[in-house]
Amino acid sequence: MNRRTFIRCVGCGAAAAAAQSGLLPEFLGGVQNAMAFDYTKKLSSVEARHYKKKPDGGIECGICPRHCFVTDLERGYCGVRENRDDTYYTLVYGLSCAVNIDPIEKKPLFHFYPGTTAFSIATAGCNVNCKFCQNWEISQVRPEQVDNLDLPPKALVDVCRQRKVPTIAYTYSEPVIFYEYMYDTAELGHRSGVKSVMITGGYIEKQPLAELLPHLDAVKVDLKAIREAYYRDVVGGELQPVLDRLIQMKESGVWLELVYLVVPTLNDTEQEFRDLARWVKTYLGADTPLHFSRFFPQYLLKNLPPTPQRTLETAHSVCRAEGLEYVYLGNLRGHPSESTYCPGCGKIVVGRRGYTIYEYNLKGNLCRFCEKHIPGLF
Amino acid sequence: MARRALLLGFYSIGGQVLLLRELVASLNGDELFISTALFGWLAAVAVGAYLGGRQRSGPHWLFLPAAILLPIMILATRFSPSLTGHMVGEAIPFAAAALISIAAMLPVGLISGWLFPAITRQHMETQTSIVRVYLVEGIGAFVGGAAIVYLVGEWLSGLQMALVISILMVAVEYVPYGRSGIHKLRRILITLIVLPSTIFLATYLETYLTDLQYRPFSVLDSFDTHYGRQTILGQAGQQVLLSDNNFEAVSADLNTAENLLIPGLLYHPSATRVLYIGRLEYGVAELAAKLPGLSLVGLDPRPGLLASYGDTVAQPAIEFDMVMSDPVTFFASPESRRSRPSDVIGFAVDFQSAYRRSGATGTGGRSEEFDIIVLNAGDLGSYKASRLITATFLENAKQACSGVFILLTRYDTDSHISAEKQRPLATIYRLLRASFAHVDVWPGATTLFIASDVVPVEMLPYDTIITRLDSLEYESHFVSADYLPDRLSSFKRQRLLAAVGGTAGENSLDRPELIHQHLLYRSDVRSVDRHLLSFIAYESTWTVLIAAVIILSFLVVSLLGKPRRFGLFLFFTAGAASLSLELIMFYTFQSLAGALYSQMAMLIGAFMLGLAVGTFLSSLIKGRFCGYAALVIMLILSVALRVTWESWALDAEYANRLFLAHLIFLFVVAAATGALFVAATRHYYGGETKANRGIGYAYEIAGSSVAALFTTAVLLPVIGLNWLLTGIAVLIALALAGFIVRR
Repeated sequence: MNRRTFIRCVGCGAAAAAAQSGLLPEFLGGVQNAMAFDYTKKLSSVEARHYKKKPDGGIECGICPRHCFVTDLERGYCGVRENRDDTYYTLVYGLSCAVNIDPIEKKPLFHFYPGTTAFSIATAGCNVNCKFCQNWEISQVRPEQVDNLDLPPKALVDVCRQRKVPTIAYTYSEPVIFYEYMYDTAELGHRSGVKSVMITGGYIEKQPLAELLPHLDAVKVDLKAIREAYYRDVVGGELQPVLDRLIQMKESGVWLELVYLVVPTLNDTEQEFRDLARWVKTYLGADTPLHFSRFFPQYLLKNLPPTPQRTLETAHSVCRAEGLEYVYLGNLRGHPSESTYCPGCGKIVVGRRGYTIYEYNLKGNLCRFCEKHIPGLF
Repeated sequence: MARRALLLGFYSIGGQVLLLRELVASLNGDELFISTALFGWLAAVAVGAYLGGRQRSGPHWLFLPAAILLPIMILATRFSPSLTGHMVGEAIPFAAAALISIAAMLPVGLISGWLFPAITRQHMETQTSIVRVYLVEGIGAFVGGAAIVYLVGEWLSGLQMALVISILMVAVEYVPYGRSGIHKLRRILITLIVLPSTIFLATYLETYLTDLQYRPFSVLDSFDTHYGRQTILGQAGQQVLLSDNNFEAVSADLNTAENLLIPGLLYHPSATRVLYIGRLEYGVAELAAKLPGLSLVGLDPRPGLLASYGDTVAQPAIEFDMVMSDPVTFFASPESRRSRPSDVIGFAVDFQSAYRRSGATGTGGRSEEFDIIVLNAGDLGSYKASRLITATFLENAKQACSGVFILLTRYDTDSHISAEKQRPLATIYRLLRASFAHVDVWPGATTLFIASDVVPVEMLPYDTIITRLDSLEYESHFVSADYLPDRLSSFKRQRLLAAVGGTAGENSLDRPELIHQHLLYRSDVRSVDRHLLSFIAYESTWTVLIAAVIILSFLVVSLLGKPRRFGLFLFFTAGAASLSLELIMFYTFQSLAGALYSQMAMLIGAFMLGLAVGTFLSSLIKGRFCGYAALVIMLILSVALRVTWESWALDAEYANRLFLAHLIFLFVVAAATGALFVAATRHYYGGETKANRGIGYAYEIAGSSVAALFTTAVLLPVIGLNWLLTGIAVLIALALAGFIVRR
């Protein structure tokens, strides 16, 4: 017997012996466990909305522009919606993996009841994969991989009422992927006097959004760039559907604010700021608040530096020069651009420093000094 | 033959060190990645040696491709992130980085391994030629290693050094050789003209390429230090410090600076002397200048940065000292804190007027105690960072701390705490609790640990914090009453306290788990990483079993057939045991005494010298005695280390003794390895003339590659130092038993 034959025999023999003794299945099980983590955590089995059964089997998800085709026992891109025997289920209904009570300014929503708080929730999963995601630990994992809190819509609304928190914010990850949970909570909340705001990337299909908007009080959209290439390379999504939905939101009358995260070298040219301002002014109106947010090294872009203050100030001045009335800079505590100024008289109507409101000069929606109408919910 | 073997040693160490440096600098690698890269190199050398041994051609034609490949692979490595579709600033996930590193190491490693048997064929007698090439190659590696250590980072960049090696190879191998004076003069002249011109041109090439690499940032400076590559980028009025392509700091980062300095002052308002472990530029010094009465000292071993800080304007108010030392070295004992004047650089006004202090002022000549010590932990995925969060280090730091110890981590605990993040946080908390009587935590975008033996930090009411904040003579922007109510809300604090009070691991010299915990946390960025790393960390039994199966396979293959085949297992043992022990010694030294490059260079030098001395001496002694002696010495050393390492840890304050012990240990291990190689060569090749001349070397390098992959990065955190040393002792004992039986 030569060396090669011996090794072959020993290899086959060992594999057969291991299979016989149960060692092999155990080994494979060990590998599987390592890959799948803990499957014992309970997931929800609530039927999803907005999907179509395909004639040849499988379903097509219609919640976002991805239109995932999902075969039996597979999940969509978001990882939280699963096809079981051609019925589509959401796995995260009532399962929050992040819960906080945040100042509304942190969202940021500056024209929506300043100084109040929002009960903020999120589930695992997301329908894009932004390389700078601040919440990648929950947005880029499956629901089995996080600790979920059992918080169905009724319990959530009850908690808000008990704690006297006026608003529920669907935030951190992408609320579009837990559409049913958000929809039912927002609807129930409205009936109970609790408001709802959606903090989203706006990557959602027209029909689901149309059904959802009546139950929302405000929407903050992260418009990540004004270039399609950026959405393709950095976000893993598409720009045009987001722009279309922004127009839809504005037309619906829901209160809308925009955030633009300025990522150094990737979406921070003056031309981009100008294009952004022009698009917002043309399609959403000059009175739509636009927040420029500072990037901090995160997730896959953890080796890019934070956004220079000068770049943010350039963005601010470009957009103001283009005629936008409410342009804010985030994460620059003490900067004048944190506050809301009346476009009529130029005076501070809501003075902010961090999350603190130190000056408030509004009577309803009117400037106390010149009585100009300031848009928003105050 | 000797000339070529010397050149091979030079080339081999150059390829290994320069490519590894380049990979770490370009892919910001962590501990596992370094192991993978080293494994990639060694595996390629092993395969090259085996394949080269099957050929009959000489080495002449191999030197040209070898010379061309080295600088090309350095450049390819530098641009590998963009070549593989990653953008500037993007972290490369582990699996991708590992694949890139193996691919980058493959060509040079393969050719380096191939050269070994090719050179031995210049001599008819198999045994003698192998031992001679091994010996001279070792000497070449020693000379090359010394040249790289002292030239790279001080005089030359990695690329320039690679070009120097390439030119030398071409000059020695291809410029016509002759004994006449004219020939020698011609060779010297050609080398003298080509070498400096290439280095000069490479400077411009490198500047151009670095600009290209970081576009659209403007590169203000980029240079190699003994510890890696520093790049300073500029954009819109701010300067960015990259260490090994890894974001480290930005000027002037008031947010981070406030998080580092202000909390300590809130818990210890009367503090005046602050030690910051890290770079003082980039915000901390500027902030300290605004805090009246504060005296600040920085602690960081990297020279050169201060001068490169450029023209960022600082607010001149007080002077600062930078102690150029390793934190572990600095805290090891009161004596080591009594810094030598030459280690202390004072700087003031605009950071450009750095000057050497005399011993009479500053920290020079005095043993210090500090009211506040601040540690910016950074990324915990490497031993370089995680060794600063051990019971030993914290206990030593406590001796120098009369007030509050602040530890800042980059873990974001503001909105949620995942299970992967909970574990390292809990480990850090547990270690601090073991050293300090009082520990408190602050959630937020960066998580703060506040520890003290004298201040009951956890009992400080929130109102007092706010009151003290108001009484500071500086209006804090980010650690301020405008953010703290949200950041320190009872809900968030309770959540963090619950997390840090949960399941914790250890991070001791015996079992440094923190790097695995951190890598697992980061592995969530890619599912492949998650599967791979969770297998390593959670399925520890299988990890150990895989290592054991590999070793046993080599044993079985070596035992089959004629007794001489057992020589192959001796080769394998020489590689596996020596590299394992070498890596362990580097690990223990860095953990106990610091990682100053000058000392590390001496340790590496001692190992290489030992290898050459052991090979040479044993080649003079006939018979099997060398083999027995080498194996017995290695066995005794492993057992001795297994039994005594804990007392070494206790002796850490006697830095010189510790250094000497490591130096001697490494020298003896290497000498024994050299002797074992000679014994294995005699055992396997004795009387054989047609055997594959590369196979023995290939087995030795294969053993080293298994050790590189498993020892410190995989097995150490999983099974601990004690079991690891036991395993090595068993491997050597197996080899010894076989050597006795298979005569």
